[in-house]
Amino acid sequence: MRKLLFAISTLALLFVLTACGGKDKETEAGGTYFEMGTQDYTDPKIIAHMVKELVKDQTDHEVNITENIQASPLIITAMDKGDFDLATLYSGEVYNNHFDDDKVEHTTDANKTLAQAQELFNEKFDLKWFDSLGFENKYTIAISDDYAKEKNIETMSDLGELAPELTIGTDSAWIERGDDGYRAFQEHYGYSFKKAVGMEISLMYEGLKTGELDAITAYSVDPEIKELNLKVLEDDEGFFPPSTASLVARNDKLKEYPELEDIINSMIDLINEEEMTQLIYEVDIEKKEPKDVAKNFLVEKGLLK
Amino acid sequence: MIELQKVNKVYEDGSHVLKDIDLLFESGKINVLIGPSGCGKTTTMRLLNRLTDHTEGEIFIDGKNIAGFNPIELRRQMGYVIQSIGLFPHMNIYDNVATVPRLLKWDKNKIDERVTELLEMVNLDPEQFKKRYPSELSGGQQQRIGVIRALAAEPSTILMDEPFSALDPISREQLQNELVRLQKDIQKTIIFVTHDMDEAIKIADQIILMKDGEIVQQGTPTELLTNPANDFVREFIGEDRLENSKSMPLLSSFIDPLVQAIRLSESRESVIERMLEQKSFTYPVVNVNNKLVGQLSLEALLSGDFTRLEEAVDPSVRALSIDQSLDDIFEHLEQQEMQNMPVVDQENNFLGMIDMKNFIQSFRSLYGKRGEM
Amino acid sequence: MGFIVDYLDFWKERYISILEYTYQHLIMSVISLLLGILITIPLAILLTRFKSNFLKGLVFNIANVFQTIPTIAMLALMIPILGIGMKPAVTAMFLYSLLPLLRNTYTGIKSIDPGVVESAKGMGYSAFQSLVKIELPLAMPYIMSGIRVTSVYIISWVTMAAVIGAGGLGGLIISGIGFNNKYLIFTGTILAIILAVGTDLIFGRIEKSRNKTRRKTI
Repeated sequence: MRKLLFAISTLALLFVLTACGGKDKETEAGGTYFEMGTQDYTDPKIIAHMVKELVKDQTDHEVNITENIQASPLIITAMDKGDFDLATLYSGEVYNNHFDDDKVEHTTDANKTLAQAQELFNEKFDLKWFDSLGFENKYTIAISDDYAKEKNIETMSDLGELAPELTIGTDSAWIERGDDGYRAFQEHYGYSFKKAVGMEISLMYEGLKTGELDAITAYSVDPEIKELNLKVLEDDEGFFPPSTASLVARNDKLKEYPELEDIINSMIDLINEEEMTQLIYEVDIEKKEPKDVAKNFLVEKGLLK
Repeated sequence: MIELQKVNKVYEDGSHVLKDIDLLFESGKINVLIGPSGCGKTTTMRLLNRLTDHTEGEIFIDGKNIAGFNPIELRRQMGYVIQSIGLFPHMNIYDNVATVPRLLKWDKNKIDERVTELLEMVNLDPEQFKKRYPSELSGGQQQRIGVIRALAAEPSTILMDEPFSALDPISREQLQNELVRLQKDIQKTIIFVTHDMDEAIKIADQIILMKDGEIVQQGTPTELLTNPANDFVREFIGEDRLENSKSMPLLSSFIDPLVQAIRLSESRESVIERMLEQKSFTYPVVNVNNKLVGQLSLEALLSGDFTRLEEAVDPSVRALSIDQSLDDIFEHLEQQEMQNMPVVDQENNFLGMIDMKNFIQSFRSLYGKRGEM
Repeated sequence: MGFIVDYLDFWKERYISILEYTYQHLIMSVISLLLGILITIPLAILLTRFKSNFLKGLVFNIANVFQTIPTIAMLALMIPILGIGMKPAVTAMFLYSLLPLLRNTYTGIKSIDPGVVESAKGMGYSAFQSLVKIELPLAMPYIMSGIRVTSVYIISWVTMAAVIGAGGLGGLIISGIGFNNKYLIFTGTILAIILAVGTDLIFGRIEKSRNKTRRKTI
């Protein structure tokens, strides 16, 4: 009995391993599989489905999407190892400790940030960082619109006066981030909040709703900004770095399959912030499938029939 | 004195475990409750310290109805010893024994004295044993502690529920003997539950035999042995024991009260005179404390040159002990050829002389009977 | 070894916030543990007095259910009721600690030789005295080992609390992942390990010293 169980589990394990290592399997049409990883927020997921649709439509290849990777650095590690072939990443990633300090210049200029990302990721990880898809997804600070009107707050500097009585909720990373995190923010703007708490992103909005949080670090494309009627404060001192979205792919795959590169190129500047916020809204709030939302958008834009 | 009047106990499920019990436990005596499993003996005992309560009837201790007592106060006034001993494993011997005195808030010095006294009473060196823990003691030692723990606060009544049943036979016998010995000094009212008839016969002043919640017979061990009330009693005691009890009369009944020992303080002349008069030429000799020191023969008296009587005494004489077994006695007979054997108690006090001819005759007649069986 | 210098710099810059995280972690662990002990010990004592097996089974089953809920799910369940932050975290940890603490205390008391309890009663200890002087001291080894084991569990579980805004060492770890800072991840992890191992050692010592002065078996 024991031996039988052992044999079965070994077989099962082998099966799973081969299935996982099926990178070099062939698709029905004789093409290959591209592995794409996404983070756990919605915009990369939508982009991933767009890529999938286009690849299916225009080539014999297919795209496997692995969702909900906890953080971008993990995706990069996976790409480096070859577990993923492409992903959606944000230019601010260049400041995330991937490179020695002396190589990276911290700037809030969007173009410079992108250029650095493209150069450094190519050099170190052999990845091609394409030009922007057309939208940014960067940190902002948001508070309730009523509160903003009441206290006449327009900018992040304005918030400074009231901050000592306020609690701000942020994602777990921002509290500890280096040049664009809370520490640097306090130095840059010269004030601190009464309390800064790190947590899961979805919980930040919960916290605003229940009143446990007074302010949060929202992302510029979050649909909740519209839904909860939040005011995004102006970054008058220019603290938060730009974070434009781009597709990033392994150079070796691009060389082997130039058709992939063509498709990615066709997506450059495809979608702007407003459009992206709307798509995210449809998925997060209206609960539509990212697959459908992606497809409809491509049809609208004429990239799909 | 403890009295039970028309005591009944019925459980919720209807089982009637004690039926109209009328009982008097004599003060200062060992009262043994005995019977088959489920007869109600333990239940009866536990009524006394209210670990369980009766449903009908009255129980009086020294004339007061125990229903009016606070059960916890009552228990502190009674000693309680159980079969599984139940010493507190996390406390040393001193603390175990001091339990009830502490509950009664005795003064520390008094407690110290009492614990030392109690340990000595059961022959356990206080200095050694005070700090030990129960797990370091043998079963017999533990139950000795169990007993003195029950005695610690000087209760007048002690309840003992099959206290020696879990011990090995040797320890059991030792403790039974010790209890009887202690009782001579402490004279508590002891209520003792057992299922062992030998134990009961050995220690009891009064035996109460129970069956199915009723008292079948109560009386002294001799009374039960010689006059069993019915077949059940007969069966329970067992034919063997009944027979044995009818067999040899006790050694003490053979002691000739007329024979007196010679005292060391007497003069040679008076002793010789006595011997000639009584026509008995060897005599036991005792000292001023009535302890047997040996025997004196006419021959020795006449022959030797001695100044004091002591010097003529032959100390090699062996005496019979009052509680010796029959086998021992016959060994003696083989070794000595005395007409009379001196008998002493455990402390070598001279009790009297036995006429060996009478003794052997009785034995022969008994043996003969048995031979016929 | 340049990275040691870097690591030291890292500490220099952040030691205050690291201490704060550690403090939060300890507070949450300690409060959850204390709450757990406060509730389960009387509850376990009560259970040993119950005759009804059904009731006992029920209580243990409920505690068991709490244990089997995955940590993240448990935290998520607390949020609608208690909001975010330390409150739901402590509540979740407390619910987790119920089963091990309850089981150990219950077993400890039940394992006492019934003769000892009977003696205590027959000699005139009141129910309260018997509990405090006899039963609890004898059950203590089980209770202590339950506390030791549970406290180590709690310290590891509390790392998850960062996800719901409760802070704690988990915050260091999760930030480190999000921001690709190995020092953060390492520091959070190693401190959590040190806390857990340290707690285990301290309670273990206490257990040992109690064992020396107590003999439990007859």
